[in-house]
Amino acid sequence: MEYREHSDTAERAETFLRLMAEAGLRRALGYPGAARPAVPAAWASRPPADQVLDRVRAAADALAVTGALDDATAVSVLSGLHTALAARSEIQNIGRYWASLRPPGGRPPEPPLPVGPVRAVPVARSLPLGADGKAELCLLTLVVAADRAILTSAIRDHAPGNRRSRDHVHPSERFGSLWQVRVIDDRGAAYQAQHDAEGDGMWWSGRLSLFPVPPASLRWLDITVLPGNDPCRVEIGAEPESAPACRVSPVRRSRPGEQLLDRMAGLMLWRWLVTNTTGDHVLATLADVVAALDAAGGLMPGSPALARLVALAARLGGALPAALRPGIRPAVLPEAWLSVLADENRTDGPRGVAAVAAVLPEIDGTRFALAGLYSTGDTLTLHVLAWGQQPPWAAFRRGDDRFSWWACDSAGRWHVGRRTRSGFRHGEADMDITFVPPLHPAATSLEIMLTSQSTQVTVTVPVDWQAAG
Amino acid sequence: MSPPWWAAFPPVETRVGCGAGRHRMRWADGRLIAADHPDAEGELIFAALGGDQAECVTIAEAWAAHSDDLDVLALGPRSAADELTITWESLPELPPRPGPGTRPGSAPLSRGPLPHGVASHGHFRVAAPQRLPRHPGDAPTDRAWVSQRELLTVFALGAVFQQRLSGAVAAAWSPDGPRARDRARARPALVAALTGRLAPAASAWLGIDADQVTASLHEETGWGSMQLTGTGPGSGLTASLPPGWLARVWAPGLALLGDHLVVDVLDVTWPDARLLGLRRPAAEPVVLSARHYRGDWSVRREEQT
Repeated sequence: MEYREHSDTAERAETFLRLMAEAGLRRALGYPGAARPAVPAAWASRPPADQVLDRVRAAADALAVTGALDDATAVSVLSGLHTALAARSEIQNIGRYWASLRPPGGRPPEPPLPVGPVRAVPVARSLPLGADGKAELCLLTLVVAADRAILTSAIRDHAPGNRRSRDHVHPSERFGSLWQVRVIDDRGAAYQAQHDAEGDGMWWSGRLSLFPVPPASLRWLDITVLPGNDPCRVEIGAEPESAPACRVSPVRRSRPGEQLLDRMAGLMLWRWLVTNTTGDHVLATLADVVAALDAAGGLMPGSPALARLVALAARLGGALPAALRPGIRPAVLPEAWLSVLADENRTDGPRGVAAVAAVLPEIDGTRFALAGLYSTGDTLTLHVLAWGQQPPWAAFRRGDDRFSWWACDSAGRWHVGRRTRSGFRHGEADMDITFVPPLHPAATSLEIMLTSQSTQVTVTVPVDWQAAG
Repeated sequence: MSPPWWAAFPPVETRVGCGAGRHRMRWADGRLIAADHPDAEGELIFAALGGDQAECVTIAEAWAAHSDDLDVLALGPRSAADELTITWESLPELPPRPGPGTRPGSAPLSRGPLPHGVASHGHFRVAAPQRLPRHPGDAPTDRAWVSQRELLTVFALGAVFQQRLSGAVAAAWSPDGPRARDRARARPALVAALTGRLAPAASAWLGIDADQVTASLHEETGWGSMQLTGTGPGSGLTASLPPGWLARVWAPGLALLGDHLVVDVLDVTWPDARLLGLRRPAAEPVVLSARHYRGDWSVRREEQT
């Protein structure tokens, strides 16, 4: 019987979470007779009430993401616990945490999926930028749907001595007014354009939104981005013959908790490579997550995914929660994880941009369009547009918790991805997925695997590095 | 026939700020009333038509609206030692019930002719509303937020009122309560409420870790069951008790009397009660006579059974 068909899954999940909240309240208040659990090192300085809330929230997240518990119940338990702690003076500012659970005006409706076709067209045009011409503006991919038309871009500054900044650097600080855009279509109609970009002083990720949205009958657009440059004609016909084919396959796991634990392991791997942290943030709540999933019947007997995650934690030197130590035999790490770890210190990736373009089929109520990538030498960032995703502030479950991003390049190097930037407005979402380790220098294509609780979509895109303008 | 759940409680009264004055809120026989507003029902009608609504009446109305609200059990005290620190001063400003357009007032209404316009509705009846509409048009999450803030207001009446409201909610979900038919979907909340209140009592009774107390809802006849599990520091208690235990035993402060854990109330007319208590888990229950004296219940004698 499938997990979701268990009639008592929701009741078991809710009962577990409410009992966990009860025990947490006792601990936070230091009731006589309340057990004092070992506190993860990462939390040693956190007040007991905050620790309790974090742990219960992690369990609630796990139960909600795996479908064992609906969002409303999870929010009800969390807000009830928070109010109970606040009413006992364990937490100040009763509204703050509530606000984090309940956005003003309530949860917005689910953003719609696109009506009609979504077309992603490679533009692949690079223009010199800056007074010294040491920078370039790369127009990557135009995505046109019934509700939006967005041209993705990347800016790269080659200036010697240039350094990355930890803070956001707006490209206008470096290059002045960039976007003096003129867009004309095949009927002579003109479009307004709104742009935004974020970057670190060496690379910027940008988007140019066109208004109004071009009609479905659109054949081409002439886009002039910088004065003095020839217009760039973008042919927008039917689905291009070279559009990469997607493979859709069901995720053959009857226990959704296994899927979640593998996603958590992917997150640990990503952080290990990017920030050199051992995953303590994941491990701090792992025992609670595992207990919650187990209580709701969300894990396989002997949980192979937990064994893999434990093995990864041991490999990274992370502190496994005491409650999980007995009885778990670490597993052999999957080939993809070993590949990522083997290449963890690589900085040999190409430095360039590629106008990849692919529209993925619906996966768990969400559509994605891949719209260009840029490779900085130590990371690979994919532009992604999405439909059907709630902004993180509006959804109890964070949107990206439901998906994992992996890729394998044609040279056999594996990459794990994570959302590093996102923007949501009017039901639209766009995001950057940053993969590590970097692309193999000899790679000519990239197989991208997007996995949800129930489905995996795989698409292979050619990586044709865009020539400098 | 079992005595009503509230029979083990004496009436209580407190004063709250209402407009420029301080008015009495009185609880007796399971109900909270705004004692200085003799025509609270009329005031509610008046407020529904756009007139002022007194704070006292708002509180009494909120009490009634939350008397089957399981959030009361999530927020409320777990034991006599569990003191909530909610005060009137600590509360955020609350919107008046039942909705936008009404303003708090202070002048108690006395029953008289209905306001003009009301009388023209031939079918209009003056009755205490059990459930006033809640801010129509608001999103469910906003209503939940308002509901939680409203609950805090009721809890600010003080500990003795919190115990009584908790008892009312538990009674509402008991087999003979008005929400009994909905109990299946409320089971997780009721199990948590039962466990959260039995655990401190059982911990004090047996000296065990409160986290080792496992409780379930007893759905059959009789008081339920109780078993000690394990030995030494890891020992625990597995209990099955009816939801009515919360209303009839725990809420009036009868859970632990001396060295007995009380599992049922046989008869009670405050300040006297006949109880069923256990000296240890799995033992045969004994009948206890208890009396409430100077704020506490105590066992007067153990009867022969």
